[in-house]
Amino acid sequence: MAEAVSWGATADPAHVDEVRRTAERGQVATLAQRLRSTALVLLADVPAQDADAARDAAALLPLLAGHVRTAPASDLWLVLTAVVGAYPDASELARIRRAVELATDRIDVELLLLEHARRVSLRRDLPPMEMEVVTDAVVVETDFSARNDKQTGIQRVTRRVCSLWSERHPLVLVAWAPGHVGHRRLTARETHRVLRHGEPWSDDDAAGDAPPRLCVPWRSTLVLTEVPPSDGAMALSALAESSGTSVVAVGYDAIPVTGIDMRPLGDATTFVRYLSVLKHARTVAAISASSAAEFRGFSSALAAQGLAGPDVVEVQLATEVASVQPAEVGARPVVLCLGSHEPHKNHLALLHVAEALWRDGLDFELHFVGGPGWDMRAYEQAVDHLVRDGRPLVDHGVLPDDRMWSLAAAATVTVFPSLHEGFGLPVVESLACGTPVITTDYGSTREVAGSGGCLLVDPRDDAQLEDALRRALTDDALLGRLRAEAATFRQRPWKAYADELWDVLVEPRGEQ
Amino acid sequence: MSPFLRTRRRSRYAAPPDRLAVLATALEERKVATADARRVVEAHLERPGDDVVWLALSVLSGVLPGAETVIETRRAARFAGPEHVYEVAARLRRDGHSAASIEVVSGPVIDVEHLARTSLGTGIQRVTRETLRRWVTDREVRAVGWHADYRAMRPLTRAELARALEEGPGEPKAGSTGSPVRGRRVVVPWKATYVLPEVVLEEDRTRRIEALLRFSRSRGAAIGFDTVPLTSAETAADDVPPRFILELAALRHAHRIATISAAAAHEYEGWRTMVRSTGLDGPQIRAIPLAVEAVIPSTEALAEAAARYCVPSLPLVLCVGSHEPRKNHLAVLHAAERLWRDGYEFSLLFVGGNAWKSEDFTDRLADLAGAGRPVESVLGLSDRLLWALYALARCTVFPSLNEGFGLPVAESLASGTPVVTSNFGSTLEIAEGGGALTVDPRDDAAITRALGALLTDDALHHELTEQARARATRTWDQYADEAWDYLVATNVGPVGQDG
Repeated sequence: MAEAVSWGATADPAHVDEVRRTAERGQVATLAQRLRSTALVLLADVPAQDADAARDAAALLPLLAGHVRTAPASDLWLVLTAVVGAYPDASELARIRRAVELATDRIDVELLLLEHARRVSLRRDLPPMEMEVVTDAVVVETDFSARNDKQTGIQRVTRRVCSLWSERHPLVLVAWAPGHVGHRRLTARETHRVLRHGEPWSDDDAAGDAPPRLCVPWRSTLVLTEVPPSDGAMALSALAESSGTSVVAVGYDAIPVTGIDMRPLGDATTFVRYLSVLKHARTVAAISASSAAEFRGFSSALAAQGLAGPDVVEVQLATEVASVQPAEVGARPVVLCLGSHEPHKNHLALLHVAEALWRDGLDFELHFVGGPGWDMRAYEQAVDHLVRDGRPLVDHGVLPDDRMWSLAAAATVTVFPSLHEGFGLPVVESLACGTPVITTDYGSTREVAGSGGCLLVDPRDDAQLEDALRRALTDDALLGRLRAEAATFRQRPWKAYADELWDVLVEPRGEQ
Repeated sequence: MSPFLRTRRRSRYAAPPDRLAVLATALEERKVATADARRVVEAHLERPGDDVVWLALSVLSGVLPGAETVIETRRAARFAGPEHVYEVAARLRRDGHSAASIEVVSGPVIDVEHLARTSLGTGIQRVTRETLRRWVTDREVRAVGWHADYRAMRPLTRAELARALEEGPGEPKAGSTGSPVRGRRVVVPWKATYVLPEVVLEEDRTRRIEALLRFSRSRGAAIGFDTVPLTSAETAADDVPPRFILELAALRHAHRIATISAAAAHEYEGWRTMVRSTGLDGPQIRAIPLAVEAVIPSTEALAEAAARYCVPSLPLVLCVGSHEPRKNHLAVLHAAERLWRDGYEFSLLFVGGNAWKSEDFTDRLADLAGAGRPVESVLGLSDRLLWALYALARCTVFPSLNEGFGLPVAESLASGTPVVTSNFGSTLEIAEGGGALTVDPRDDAAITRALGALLTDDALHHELTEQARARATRTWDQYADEAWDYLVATNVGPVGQDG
C-alpha cells in the first residue's frame, strides 16, 4: 500500500529519504482522509478509523472499489476525486468507467484506481490536500471576487448576491484550489472580500486559516456567478455532466462570440471553454432579455449534438446608483461618456461626431470617465489630436462612483453608443441621475431605454449619432421632455434581483 | 535614398491615373476616360460612405482593407478630403506588394483559396471541389484565391483551377503557393455575389472578408459545415475556436448560408439568434444536404482490400473517420471488447487519420491488438480501397457526438452496408432514409447491443441491407444545382451600406 501511493514526491538532493518519507506520510494521510470522507457519503457501513493512515486507506479503498463496480457514474466521479485529489475531466472519467466495467474483480478495480492516480500525478502537480464533501448544499463559486479587490460589473453581482443570499440561506463559498484540482472554501479574508466588500479588514490576512482542503459539492447546486477560470473549465464541465450536482449560472453576455472582431481573440478561447461547462448546466439566468437571447441561441444549437442545453431565463439585473449632488461645471453644456475604452464601446464614433459638431460651431465639453481597456491606440490618437486642436475634451480616467454620478447628474446628456452590451449599466447610471442618454437602438440598452429619457441611434451610423447629439444640444424642448422622463426612472433593487435569482437558479433543486 | 521613400513622396498626392480610371468606371458603372477620372472620383469622395471608401482603398492600393481602416479613413476624409483617401491607399500599398493589375468584378465570385493552395482530402474539400467542378462547367463564375500575404484576392489561372479540381490528397499544388510579386493581379468584387464554400481560419483573410461583406455592395453567401468549434469546443484544439468564431463574425454580414444538413442549420440558426443581440439580422439559413454517390468497387479493388484488410472467415466491422475524441472511437473499442469477451467473432478496422488528442485511442487500440484482438487502424487509404471496404464490411459504426453531416454514414448506406450511428443530429437525418440502427452514443451499452445485433441477427442485417439498397440516391449534380440556386441565383436584393 505504502509503495503504491508513493507518487508525486519531489526529491531534494540533501534529504532525499527524509523528504520522501515525510511527503509520503502526508500523501498517505490525506489520501486516507479523502477516502474516508467519501466512504461516509457513499457507503452504508464504514469501518472504524484506523490510527495508522496507510492501514486506514488500505481498508477503505477495497470497499470503494467494490462500490463503483455497480454504482452510478456520479459515484465514480466522487471516488476518482478522492483517490486522485483532483476532479476528473470527462475523458478520464470515461476511461476509468470503461476500465471498471472490464475489470475482472474488485482488486483489479483497486489497482486501476491507484494506477490512474499515479498517472495523473506524473502529469500534474497535486498538492496533498484533505477533502470535505458538502452534501445538498448551495455552493457558490466566487474565485475572482474572493482573490481580488477589483469591482467591475461581474464582481459587483457576485458580491451583492452572495451577501444578500447569505443573510437568508446557508451558503458554501468556494474558490479554486491551487493547481485547479478542485474547489476549496474561502479564507476568512476572502469571505470578507466577498460578503463585506469595501468594509475595512483589520485581521491578519492569514490568521487562523487552516491549510486549504478540497471542498467537493455532492448532490448540491453549484452556482457560477462569474466566468470560471479557464484552467478549471474541463473539470467543471465533467462535474456538470456527471457528478450529480446541478450547475447553474448567471449569464452576462456572449460578446467573445458575437463581437470577437472587436475583442482580443484569446477572449474566445476562454469563453468557449465556459460554454463547454454551460452546455451541461441546468439553468442560466441572463441579466437582460438581449443576453437571454444570446444564451438561448447557444442552448438551442446543442440539439445537433443530442443535448437539451440549459434552460435560459431572464432575470434583469439590479443597480444601485445613489443620488448625489451634481458636480460643479462651467457654463458650457457637458456631454459625458461612461465606460472603459474598449473598441466595441464605439468611443471613436463619439469623438468623430463631437469633432463634426465642434467644427459646426456648437459649444460643449466632452468628458470621458472610464478605465483603459483593450487596444487604446486609436482612441488615444484621436483624443490627442482633438486636444491639440484645443477642443474642450477631458478624460478623467477611472473615478469613484459618487464622483462619476455627480458628473452624470451635472451633464446635459450622456452618450453610450456601444455596439454590444449584456446590460448597459451606464444608461441606468445616467437615467438614475436624471440625465438623458443617447444610446444604441438594439439589445440591452434599448431595453433599459424603454422607460424613457433616451434617444436611440444605430451605433454603426455616425450620421444618426451626430443628429441625435446635435438635437440634444440645441433642442431645449426635446431635452426638457427627456429630462422629465429620466426623472421618473426607477432602479431595480438588489434585493429583488437576489430573491428572483435564488428562485430561478436554486429553488428548483428539489425537482430533479 | 530608399526607393520606398521616393514612392511615398510621389504617390502621396498622386493616385495613379490608370487606377483612378478603374475606380471611376466602377463607381459610375460606365467607362470613364483617364482624363476625367480624378474629377469623377473626387465627386464621389465628397462625404463618402464606407462602401465608396472601401472600393477606393481597394482599387487604389491593390489591398483589401479591414473594416477599421475603412471607417477610420471615411471619418478622416470628411475633414481632410479625398487627399486623405489617396494617402491611406498609398500607405496600404507601401506596406505590401503593389498590384500590377486590378480588376473590379461583378457577378459570382467563388473564393476557393484552400482548394487552390493544397489538397487535404477532407470532407470540406470534397464538397468545395464537387460543387465548383459543376459550377465552372455550366455557369459564369470567377474562381479566386488569395495572395500569400492574405491581403488581396487573385484570379485563378485556368491551369490552377484545373489542378484545384483534381481528385485526391497530394502535396501543396505547384505554382499556387507563392504568387508572383511582379505582375500581381488583384480581384476586387463590387456589386458581386461573393460565395465562400470553405472554412476560413486565417485571421488576415477573415478580417478582409468581413469588410468585403460589409462594404462591397455584394451579396454574400457561404456553405455552413458545422459549428463544432463554438458548440463543442472541448473537442477542438485551442487555436481553432477563436479563428472560427472570427469567421462567424464576418459571416454575420453575409446574406445566405447553405448548411450541409438540417442539424447544421439548427446550429447556425442558434448562432444567428446570438448575433441578433448585436443589432444585425445575420444571414438567412437553409439546409441543403450533401450528396453521396457510391462508387462501385472493381473486382481488383475488392480482392486487394479483402486480402490486405479482412480476416478470413470473420465478418468485418468498419469505422471510418479521424480519431479525435468527438468521433467517440474509444466507445467503439469498448463495445468491441465487450463483444469479443462475450464470444462474438468479427474483425474491426478503423480507417482515418490521427488527429488532435487521439493518443488515448492509439494507446487503447495498441492494448487490444497486443492482447490478440483482430483490430487494426489504417491511415491514408485510397478512395478506391475505401469503397471496396464499405462493400466488404458486415456493417459500419459511426457513433459521433457532433457532426455537420456524417459522410461515412451516408457512404456506407450508399454502398448497401448497414450502420450503427447516433440517434440525433445529422447522423439521425441520414439514418432516417433507412438501413441504420441509431443509438445514444454516450451509452456504451447501447452501442454494444446494436453492434452485437448486426453481427448475429441475420434477419435484421438483411432487412437493413435491403433498406440501404432501396435508399434514394442524391447526386452531386443535384447538390450543386440547389446550392447554386440558393447561394447565387436567388440570392438577390438590395444591399445597404452595412449589408
